[in-house]
Parts: sequence; structure tokens; C-alpha cells
Amino acid sequence: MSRLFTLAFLAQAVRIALPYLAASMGGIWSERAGVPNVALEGTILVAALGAVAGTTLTGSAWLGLIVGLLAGVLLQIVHALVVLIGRANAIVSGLALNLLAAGGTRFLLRALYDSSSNSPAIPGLAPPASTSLLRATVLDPTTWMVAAVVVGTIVALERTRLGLRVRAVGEHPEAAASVGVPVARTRAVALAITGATAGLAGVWLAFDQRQFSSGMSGGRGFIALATVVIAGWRPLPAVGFALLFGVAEAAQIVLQDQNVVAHQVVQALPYVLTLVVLAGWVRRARPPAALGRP
Amino acid sequence: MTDTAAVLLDGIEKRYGQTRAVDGAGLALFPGRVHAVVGENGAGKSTLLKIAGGVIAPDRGRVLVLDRELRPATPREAIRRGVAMVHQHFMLVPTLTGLENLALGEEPTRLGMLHLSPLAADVERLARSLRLEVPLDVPVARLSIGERQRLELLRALRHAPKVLILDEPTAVLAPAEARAVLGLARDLATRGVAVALVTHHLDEVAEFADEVTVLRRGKVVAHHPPGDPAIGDVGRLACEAVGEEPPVVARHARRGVAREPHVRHERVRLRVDDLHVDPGEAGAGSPLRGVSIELAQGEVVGVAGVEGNGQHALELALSGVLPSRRGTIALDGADVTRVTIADRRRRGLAWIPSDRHAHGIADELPARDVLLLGAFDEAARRGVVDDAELDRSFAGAVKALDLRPDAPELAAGSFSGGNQQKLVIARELRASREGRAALVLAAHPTRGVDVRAAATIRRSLVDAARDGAAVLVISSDLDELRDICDRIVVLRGGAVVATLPPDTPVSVIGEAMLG
Repeated sequence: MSRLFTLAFLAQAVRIALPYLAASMGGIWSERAGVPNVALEGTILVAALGAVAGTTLTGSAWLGLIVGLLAGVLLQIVHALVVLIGRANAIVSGLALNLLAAGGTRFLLRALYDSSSNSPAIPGLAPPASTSLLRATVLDPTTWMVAAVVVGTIVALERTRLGLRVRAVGEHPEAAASVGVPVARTRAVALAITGATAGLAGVWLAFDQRQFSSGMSGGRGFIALATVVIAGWRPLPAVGFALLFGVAEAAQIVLQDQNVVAHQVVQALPYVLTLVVLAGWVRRARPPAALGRP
Repeated sequence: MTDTAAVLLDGIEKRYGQTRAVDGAGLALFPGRVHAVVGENGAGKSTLLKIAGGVIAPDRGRVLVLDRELRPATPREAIRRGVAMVHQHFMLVPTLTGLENLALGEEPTRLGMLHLSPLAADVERLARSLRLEVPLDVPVARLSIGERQRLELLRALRHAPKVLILDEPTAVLAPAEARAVLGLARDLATRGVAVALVTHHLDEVAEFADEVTVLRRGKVVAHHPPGDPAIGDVGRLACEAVGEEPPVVARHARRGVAREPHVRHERVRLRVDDLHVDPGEAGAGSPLRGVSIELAQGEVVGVAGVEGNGQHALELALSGVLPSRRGTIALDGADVTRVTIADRRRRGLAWIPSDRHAHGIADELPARDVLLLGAFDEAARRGVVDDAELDRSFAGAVKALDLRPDAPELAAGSFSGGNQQKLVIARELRASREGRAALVLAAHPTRGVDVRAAATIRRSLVDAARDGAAVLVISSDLDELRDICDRIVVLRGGAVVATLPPDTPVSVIGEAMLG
């Protein structure tokens, strides 16, 4: 049990929480603007492939990062077109985009790397794996980008013009329109931000595992979405819950090693936690009033 | 006219599907005048003025602001050209603070961050000079209706508009607040602003307007320039609005209900004992602190009070939406305090809610199906909806309440506010007509409803009492309560502070309300 309270354990927890943090901030931008977003999962996936493809094609991990973010933005722009201009249901659009992302990345994996499972290895931005987990996490520039996204979201949503408009169009679009706020454009900008922030989660995954593998998002987009809901669509609580999920998963890894409980039970821990927290907290949370309303 | 019109609407047409909301109407707003626009629900008043405010683009016709066409026809352009609008339904984002709402659309920033403190200072100065003080730093959801209205006015007046459009500004206000708003409109006109005032209260027109345009079914049916004696003639304006001969809608019958002494029965239908209710986060306003009321069969009892003194909590607790913290509610002697909404309805509760969008109708449903909501058993046979029966109820409502348009398939949300209210009334009072209602709970039943429909609704409530129900009417229209009630209870601070006979002068009731 002593292994639960080491710096390495803490680093592990934060590391696991990083994609949740980035993707949940993405979810907050979209949903606070009134657009439901179940496409976080697909966004993570396409961004991960984008990061790997960008890196292998240009030889630069930094360019790979940019390609990854752009891939995420692109997917969310499609969501924006379908929902804001096509006036389609946002849940259906999100589900379709997730399926498209799953199939599309598998197809591109085959086309680019002639593999059905994974890409060749890439260097990524983090220091070599030989360094300690704590050191690797702290020295990884993507860690700090996620931190910047979190702080940026917290500040921007409360204190900038865009943040105010996003909150207004998500609550009462007619009122926002009546004072001249362009509702569709504001929502589109919010979705582009969602694409970049959720995309950062995908880039982080690809760089962390130093490759792309089929379906590597592994449900993280949905955990992030749950985080958004539990947090009542507010960024600061979302940070807390994302970290809580990180701790739960890190604990699961340690406990699994120790073989004290059946590992299937331990593996279910983060999801049980999700349900417990959802049942306990979500009653107090109120979604944006215009969520899902055109 | 030597003056040029501040706003000139000419030959405006606007259709929604089959219905012509505005059908070739025109309107000229001149500086220095309060121009009242009157007409029944669905006459096209709001649509016409929304076109003036750039909120809706007309299908045909010209909109000139100070002799230049309004283009593009957007709210932003209208605001930029000096046309400010206060909408019938509040255009405030409830989760944002008052200050954030005022900033929205033209947010002052510094170094990329919102910079609202100079705005706050400006607004507070303006608020003081117009006597429209309102807290700016709390979410709008926590403000009273009157405070929200003041906030809307502040926003409209911030840029010293040349034209101010007020769409039913007094519909939800207590009498004193309403007079303050109208007085302000009058003041602004003397300072050279062109004011347009949409209203159902014809006595307001007589007192505050210089000029009147009467609309009926999207057309201008009468225009009274300044000095025309018709402006002070409430009866005549009412006739023009509804298109009937004077004797039918004379001043005396304006309220539409001649009160007869009701027969007192001893059977108690509603007994509320020491009721305590916390409004919680349901937006129910202020709490109830120990209310006891008893209503006998055939009685109409009014609840008066300044908005935010527990009326809403009372409504929601009696209907079953909000739980009671303490005390009991009994219908026909049976304790229903912990009983669900559906069970209360089965035991004879009929509820005409104050917020029909939250509790009364579903905007997207065909109007016909709205008659089914919460009344499924009445229109179904062995669990299957009986379409013929439903069509009969709809036809009945068209006939009895003058429901318009006669379009059972049209989405309820496309009906005008007054006609949506008639749908609710038709459904809720069906049980009482059949003698099955124990309690009719009517909250602001005629708010935002035109004179004729309001008269019909009041008549229906009195009929419900005659048919044996107990009727509890929560209303901010004191004349209405005095007209139809057997007694009036006054709520203040969540408690009953007075029980008054219906012939109590409005001023005395008002004193009780204010304490």
C-alpha cells in the first residue's frame, strides 16, 4: 500500500489525467456554447493519428503536434457545419463523427503504414523513457500545454469577450442575438477551440505511447464528457474530477500489480467511481439551458 | 407632418407558414410622442415592432430609420442607428450578472480581458438619474421580475436612443412599478425620444399615449393622431381592436364578468394548513412561511401581493411541483401533501400555470395534442387516444374560447401567447365543466392576454366555481381579483397578512401588499 503514496504514483496519476483534462476543457467550450459534444472521443483519435502522421511525414514532432491539433479542429468544424448549418441533431452528428473517426483512422493506418494495428514508432516530445516517470512528466512540453489550456479555459470563460458570449449563446441564444451577438459564429469558434483542446489530448496520447494504434483513444473522450457533466459544466471542478479519475486509474494499476483483489474488480474501479460520482453530484448540476437547442 | 418620422414602416408583410402575421401594415414613430399600438393577441403588434427593431426581417415593405433604410435588418444595426427595444419576454441571460448582460454585444475589453468596471460606473449613474436602481453584480435569475424589467430598460436607454420600443412593458409588473415605467416613457418622450408602446391595458393608453394605432389581423384598422379624443375612449379603442360594435364591449363590461353573490356551500374543497415551502433552486422566488387558507365549494379566492412574496412558491406547492417543508394540503378532506402531481390531478386539481412554457404546454406539439397533456385518460379509450374525441375538444375550444387559428395540427408554439393560454384553459377547465374539479388553481390567468380573451377566461373561472370547484386565483391585476373573487388574501413575506372583501378599494389592497 505504501506504493500508493509516492511521488511516482502522483506523477502517474497526473499523467493519466492529462488527456482527461485537455478533452474535458474541450467539452466545456462546446457545451457551454450550447452544442452537445459526444465527438470528443473521435476528436482524440484523429488528432492522435494526425500527430503521428505529421511527425513521420515531416520528421518533426513539433510539426506533428500542429497537424494533430488541426486534425482535431477539422473534425469539430465538420460537427459545426452539420449542427449549425445543417441543423442536424448534435448527438447524432457526434456519434456519426466517432464512427467516422474510428473507421477513417483504421483506413489511413492501412494506407500510410500498411498495418491494421499500429504505426511505426515516433520520437514524440517527451524525454526518453529511461528517465523517471516524475521527471518525464515534468519535462514533457505537452504537460505544460495541457496546463495552459486549463488555465486559459478557466480565465477565458469568465473574463474574456469570447467567454461571455459563449456563456450567453449556450443559455439564451435569442437574448444574445437580440443584442447583436452572432450566435452561430460564436458557437463555431467554440467548437474550433474544442477541436484544438480535445485534439491536444490525442496528441499527448500519441506522443506518450510513441506511436498510433487503432482505437487508442480507449474511451477517454467519454470519460472526459462524464467529467464535464459531473463538474456541472464548470472548468475548475472539471480539473478536480479529471485528477480524481487519474488517481483512481493509477491506484488500479498499483493494486493490479499487488494482486490483492481480483484484477477485473480493480480494473472497473474508475468506471464505478464515475457512476458513483454521477449519481451523487449530478443532481446539483444544471446544464446550459440552450444545450442542444438550435 | 413637418417633422420627419424617427421610424417609418411602410407596407410591411410578414408570413409564418400559412398565417399572415403582418399584412400590409404601416407605422410612423415621431420624436416626442408616445405612440401606443393596441390590438388583440395575434394581431401582429409584436411582429410589427420587432421588424422596427431589426429583430425580424419583413417579407415585403420598407423600414426607414431617420429617412434611411434599415440595412442590414439586424438588431445590431437597429441599435447602432438609435432604435432600442424592450421585448415582451425578457431578453436577459439568467445565468449572467446584470452587468454582464448589459455588456453583452459590445463588451468593453482591456488587453483582451473584459473590463467592466467603467461600464458599471456609467450604468449606475444612469440608473440613479432614471431611478432604475437594480443590483448589477448578481445573476439575473436571482432578480425579481420588476428588477429584470428595470435592467432591460437600463440596457435600452444606455446609448440615449432616439427610438424606444416597449413591447408590453407592464404585463408582468405590479401597479406601482407599471406606473413608474410608463411615467419614464412619458418623460423620455418630452425629451424628444420617439416611444412605441405595445399594450393590452387601454387605460394606460388613455393616460400615457399621444397617438394610437389599432391593429387587427395584421392590418391597421384605425389610427388616431395626437389630439384625437378617441385616444381617451377606452370603449371605442376596445371595439376597434376586436372589430365589434360598441355596446358589446362597453367600458362597464371590460372585465367581462358581472359578479353575482356566489352561493356559499359548507363543503371545504381545499384546506391549506401552516404551509412552509422553500423555493430551492426551482426559481420559485421567495419562500412560504406558514400559510393557511380554506376554500369552500363554489368560492373564488384571490391571492394578491407584490411579485416575489411567495405567490410562486404557493402555486408550485399546491400543484405538486415543489415539496412542502412543513404543513399540510388537503383536497376534499384527503391529505395530498406528499402526493404526486398526477394523483392530485386525479383527485380534481386543475392548474393554469403562470409559466405555461415551463408547465402548461409543449411548444413543438400540435395544438390538439396539448389538450391531452396530463389529461390522457379523458381523451383515451382503453389506453389508446381517441382522435375523434380530441378533435371534438379542439373544436369545442375554438367555439367556446374563440381559439385562433382553427388549426389543430399547428405546433402550439406557433400560436400567439393569448391563444396558447386558451389551449391551457380549455384543457384545465374541462374537468370542472364536467363537475369533476375540486380545485382550480389559476396563476396570472390573463397576463399578456387581450381584453376579449381575458374576459372569456375570467368568465370561465367564475363558471368553474359555479359548477362546484373551489377557485384560487393568483394575480397581480387587482381589478381582476376585485371583479371575480369572493375574498382576497394578501401575501407578504410568504405569509397571509390580510383577508379582504372584494369591494376593498385598490389603494387599501395596495397598502396591505406593501405593509
